[in-house]
Amino acid sequence: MVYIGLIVVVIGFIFIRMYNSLIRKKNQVKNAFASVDVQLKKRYDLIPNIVSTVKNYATHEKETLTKLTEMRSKAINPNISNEEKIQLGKETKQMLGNIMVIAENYPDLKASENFVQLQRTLNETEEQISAARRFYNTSVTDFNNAIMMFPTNLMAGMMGFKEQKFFEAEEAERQNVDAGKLFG
Amino acid sequence: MKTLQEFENYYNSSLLPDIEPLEKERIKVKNRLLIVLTIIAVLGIGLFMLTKDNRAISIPVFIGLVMYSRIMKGYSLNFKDQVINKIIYFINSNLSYRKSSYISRMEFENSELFHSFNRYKGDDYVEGNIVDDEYLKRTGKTRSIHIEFSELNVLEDNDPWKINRTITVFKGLFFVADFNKNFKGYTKVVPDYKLNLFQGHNRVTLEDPEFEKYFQVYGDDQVEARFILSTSLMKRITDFRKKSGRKIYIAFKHNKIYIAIRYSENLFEPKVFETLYDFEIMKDYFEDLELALGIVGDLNLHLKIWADD
Repeated sequence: MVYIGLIVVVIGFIFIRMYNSLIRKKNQVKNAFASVDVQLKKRYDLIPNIVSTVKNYATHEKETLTKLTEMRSKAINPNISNEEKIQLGKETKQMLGNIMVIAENYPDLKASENFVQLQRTLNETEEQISAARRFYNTSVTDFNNAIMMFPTNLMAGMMGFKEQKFFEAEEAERQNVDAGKLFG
Repeated sequence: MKTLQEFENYYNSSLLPDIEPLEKERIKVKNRLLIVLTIIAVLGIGLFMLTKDNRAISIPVFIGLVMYSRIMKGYSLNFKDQVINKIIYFINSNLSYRKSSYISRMEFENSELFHSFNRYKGDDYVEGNIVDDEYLKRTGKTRSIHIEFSELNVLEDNDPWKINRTITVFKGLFFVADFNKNFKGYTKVVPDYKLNLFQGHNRVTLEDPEFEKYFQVYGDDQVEARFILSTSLMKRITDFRKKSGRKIYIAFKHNKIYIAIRYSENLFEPKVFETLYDFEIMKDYFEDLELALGIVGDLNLHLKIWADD
């Protein structure tokens, strides 16, 4: 009788540990996504500034700038899902990249102090996003491993935990953009 | 940075003619040392024969050590002025060299890389600004970062396990420079031991498998550690580790980067029994200095494309 009691206690203990570790991993994914979100927001906050600066010099690029502004208003809507956030983040990055390329055609814009400062801030934000994204992916790997490996997978199944998606790096990001070249 | 070929040309054209008096001094010092060595040997053997006691030898050995350091001191200082100083100036004329100074104890403690020591000394201090040549060429504007490094020898006299009388906490080159990104917390990169206990910070597991093979990262902010250790910096640190072939410790704090490179030997010291006319020996001094000064380029520290304060 005592032995059975002991076994039950041990099993109970193991279950609690498994449960807690899964919850911890799940929360870590959530926190990591929150830090990606904070960094993405920072980038969206830069957009009005970028638009107003570029507008003054690059008069023919209205369409691109309008698109960018639209993206921002979509992204800051609190009701969008995480997947949408990730997708919009990718698109915004691409659009901002386009603007930096466009800037090459406007020497006055490229030389303006304001624009150079904005570029620096943008570079830093991109690095912050990349850092947060990497942390998020590490947390997702941790979590996914736990819910697929025995024995935590049994528990994860009971708790209804599902595999989380990675925040993939864009091709451009993988190539380690040499942003230094942007400063002529 | 200068290439080895450039250094060889410099050595042949400028350094070699200048070190002739020093070479003469070296021969004199060498001869004096040989005489001292002979006397000590004779004295030691004589004393041992007389007393039949091993301990008797310690007296002439002690005298010998005192004489050795007295004879070497003057030569060593001259050597550093005339050889090391010139090599540094040749590599980068913006740098200044102070042979008897070293990185401040405060700076060393700031890095939080090594703890519990009671003796702190060093020499061969180099300091100055490294200008980004490529940026200067492209924009006509000057951009530079401040660096300093020196040799350090940090010891602890009280071994808690009482195995040795003194423990070497750190010996080698200690390098400090401005870092090109702004950050608030603390992050450190230490060699990967199977058992790294008591690091006092959270483990940060990074994605680069080669980097993770050599190092372990600890820090107080997971995202910030990744912001500092970008994919390209991890690669550059791994390459630097492979190039140097030494144990490397790196800390990031207060917008500075601290790099400790372990050496077992003393650096930038004269070799009195070998001629100064041998380029191979000069090459070693040059390469040790190049390794330290090359850190800026190797880790791309002068690339400042991020926001200012």
